[in-house]
Amino acid sequence: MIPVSTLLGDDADAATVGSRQRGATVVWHVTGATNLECSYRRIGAGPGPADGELTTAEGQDLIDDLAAYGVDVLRLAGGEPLLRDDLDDLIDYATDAGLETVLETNGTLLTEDRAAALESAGLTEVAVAVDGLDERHDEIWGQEGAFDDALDGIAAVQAADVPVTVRFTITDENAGDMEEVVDLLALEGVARFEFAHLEYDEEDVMDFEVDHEAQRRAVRRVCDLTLDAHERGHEVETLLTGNYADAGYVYQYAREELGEDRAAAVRDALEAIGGDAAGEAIADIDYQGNVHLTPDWQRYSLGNVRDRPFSAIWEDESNPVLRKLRDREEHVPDRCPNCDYYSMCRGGSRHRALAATGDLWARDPQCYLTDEEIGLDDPSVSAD
Amino acid sequence: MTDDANTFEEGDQPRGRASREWEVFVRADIDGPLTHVGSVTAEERDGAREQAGALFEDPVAIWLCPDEAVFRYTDDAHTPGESA
Ligand code: SF4
Repeated sequence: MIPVSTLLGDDADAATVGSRQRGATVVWHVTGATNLECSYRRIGAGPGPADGELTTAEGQDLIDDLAAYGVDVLRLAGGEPLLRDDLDDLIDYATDAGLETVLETNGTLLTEDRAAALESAGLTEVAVAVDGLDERHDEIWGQEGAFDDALDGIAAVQAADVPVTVRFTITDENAGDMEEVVDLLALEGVARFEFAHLEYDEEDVMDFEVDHEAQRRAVRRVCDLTLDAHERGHEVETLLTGNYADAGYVYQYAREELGEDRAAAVRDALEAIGGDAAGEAIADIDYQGNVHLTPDWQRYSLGNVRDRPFSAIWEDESNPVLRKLRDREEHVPDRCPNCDYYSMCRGGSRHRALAATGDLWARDPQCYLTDEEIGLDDPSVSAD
Repeated sequence: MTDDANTFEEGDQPRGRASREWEVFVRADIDGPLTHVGSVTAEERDGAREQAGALFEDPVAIWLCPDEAVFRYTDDAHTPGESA
C-alpha cells in the first residue's frame, strides 16, 4: 500500500509513514454468496451460501490461530460478506481476540441498523467499492441503482461512526471518473480513498487491463488530485495499491513537484514500506479454507486450514513457492535487482507475471517504468 | 498414526470453487521424498499439470490427485471447529 497523501504531505518521514502502515494482514472470504455480479472480481459463487464454507466454530478457531500468530488485521471479504449470517459474531470474536477488522463490501446491503450492529461488534473500518460515477459503477456491478445504494450504505456507516474507505479499482474504462468520484464523496464526508490496480486470475478479466500509458496517467491523476484536494482544503487520504512500480513513479513525481529534499524523504519512506509483500505480510483464505498467497492469486493454494492451522501452513518453508517468494531477490528477472527502485518494489507482482506469461519469475507486465527511469544502463538486461 | 489415544476426524468438505481442485505433490530430487505442495484449480488434468509445472520448476516428479479422490483423516485435536 502506497500512502500517497502522507508521502506528498509535509510529514513524509519514514517514521510517520511507518506508524500509519497496517501490520500483517489476512483477507478471509467469509462467504461465496453474492448479491451483485462484479465484472472484474470473480471470487463469488452465486446468490446463496457456497458449498463448504467454514462454519462459525471453524472461523473462531481460525481467528484464534491468527491472533496467536501475531496477525494484526483481518479483512472480511466475500462474495458479499454481509450475506453471512454470523458476521457480527465473527467480528465480535475477532475484536475480543485483539484483531482489527475491516469489512470489504459493495455497500448495497448496509442499512443504519446493520451499520450500528457492526459498530457494536467492534468493526474497525468499512471499505466500500465505488468504481466510477453512477452509470459506470452500475454497469460494472451489473445492477441499476448499485451506485446510489452504495452511497446510502456509506452514509449509514458514517452515521454509525465507523471509518469508511472508498475503494476504486482502476480499469481502462473508469480512470476518467476518479476526480469526480473523490470530489463527490469528499463532499459526503469520505476522507479515505484507495485506488487499486486491477489484478487478474482469469483470462477474460485481462481485457480490463490498462495499458502502460493509461496506467501512468492514472497514477499521476491520483497524485494530482491529492495535491489539488489538499490545496482546496479537503484533507483526503489517498492510497495506491496493487502495483509497486507506482512507488518509483510517486518518487519521481515528488522530485518534479516538491523538489529533491522532500523527494529524498519520500524515497526513505517508500523503502521503509518495502514493496510487494506476497507470501509475507499479506495472505488470503477463501471461503472453503484454502490459503492463498494474495487475494487475487486464487488458482493456487498452499494448503487448507481444515488440515492444519494457517500459522503452520504459513511457516512451512518446505513449500518451494513460499520459500522463493521470501528470497525473491535471487529469482526475480534481472531487470529488477538492477532497478533503482528495487527496495521500494521488490520485483512487482509475481502472480501477475505468472498469469500473463506462465512464468512466475518473468517481468511483471504492469511494470510501466522505462529502462531510463529505473536507471538501467545495459539494454540486454531489460529483455528479462 | 498408530497412537490409539488419537481420534481422527474425516474431512469431506468440498474444496474446488469455480472448478476442480487438484492436490499437487512434487519430488525435488530422485532420492528425496514426495512432498505435498498445495493445490491448483483447473477444470482438466492438463490445465492442472500446466499450472503445477509453472509453479514448481524442475522437479523430478509431479503427481496430481483430484481433490475429491482424497480421503483425509486428521487428529481432531488439530481439526478446526472441534475445540468449541
Ligand atoms: S523493474 Fe522490477 S523492481 Fe523496478 S519498478 Fe519494475 S517491477 Fe519494480
